[in-house]
Amino acid sequence: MSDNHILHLLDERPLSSLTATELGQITAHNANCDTCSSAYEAAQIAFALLQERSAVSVEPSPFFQTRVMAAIREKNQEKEADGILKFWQAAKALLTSMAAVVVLLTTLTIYTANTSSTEVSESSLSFNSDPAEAVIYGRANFDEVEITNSDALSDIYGIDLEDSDGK
Amino acid sequence: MAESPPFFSGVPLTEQLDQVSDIELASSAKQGDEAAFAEIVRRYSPRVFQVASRFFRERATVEDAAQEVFLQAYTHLADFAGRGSLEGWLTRIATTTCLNLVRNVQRRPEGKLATLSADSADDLSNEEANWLDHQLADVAAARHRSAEESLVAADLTDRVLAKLSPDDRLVLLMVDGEEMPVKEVAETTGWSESKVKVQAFRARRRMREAIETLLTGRRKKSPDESESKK
Repeated sequence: MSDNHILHLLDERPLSSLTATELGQITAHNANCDTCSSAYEAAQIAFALLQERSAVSVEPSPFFQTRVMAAIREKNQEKEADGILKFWQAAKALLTSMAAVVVLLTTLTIYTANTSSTEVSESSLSFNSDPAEAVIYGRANFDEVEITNSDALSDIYGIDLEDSDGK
Repeated sequence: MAESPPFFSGVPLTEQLDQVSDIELASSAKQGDEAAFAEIVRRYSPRVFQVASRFFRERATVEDAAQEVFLQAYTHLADFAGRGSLEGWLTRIATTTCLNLVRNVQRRPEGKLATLSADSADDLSNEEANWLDHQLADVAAARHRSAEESLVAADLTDRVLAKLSPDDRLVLLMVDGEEMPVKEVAETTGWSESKVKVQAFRARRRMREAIETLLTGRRKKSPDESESKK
């Protein structure tokens, strides 16, 4: 409150709340102080402007309620879509790994099935190709050895022809 | 087969919703009852528009802001405990939302606060200049103006308020414009009462100085105008 100016009175409270004593004090001071006089004038204009501005208000349109509810529904739908997206992102890694396992298992199953069927057919082929003599004599290299009559007779009858001839 | 009308607590909605208390409406809306929330919107949109009108003048902007307020309210319905009034809760959301919207606009480069100079008087429209002249001539008669003059005054106020910060604007319109008690302003803004007083003190000084600057420019211009008329 330097030099007893009244500026603090103008800024402290709304002009409308100044008491008659305070207003008298302002008028008395302004008679001899140009600075405070113009400040008071500006304060009055500012106050009047604010009052006028506060009286101006926009009324809601009849469609405002519908507009808000539509925006809320849209927001809810966005939320649901976000939820699905987040769930999908979380499940993506799991689903990818599961798919990889399924592919691996399928490949292994097909490969294993192919390998075992080949082995069976090969073994059955080798069995069928053996001549009856090979089976009877139990010799793997039957084709390479020539069997003589005496060998055959000795195998069948258990007689060693060479020995009996020799006697 | 005709569709049966929606019901609220066993009674047709259209007949009964306007008689349901705020607390019941809020409780139903919390449980996802859209009709209950629609009734809240219908009941309090005038109040929310009034708050948004403190910050914005254009209808489209006010409507956008009000819609944002109700979206915020819908999202945070769970926070409404019912201790205070629904109107007070919505007013506070409206004030905070609008304040944030204005702050966001001002954060953009084109929204920066301009300083008011004496040259700003040159930018005044004829109507605004006349309003100021009338005001200077007879402050006491200022209370009895036409609606058109009031709009001119509101435009002029926006020009002056545009030079102030959003917080300054808000506190001036609430305390000086609507003559709200400091306690109510504190409740609405979430500020302390002492902050409201300090903010109002500084805002009043800034606005007074802005008007003084404008008036100085106007007075300088007026002799030139009268000379040119001669």
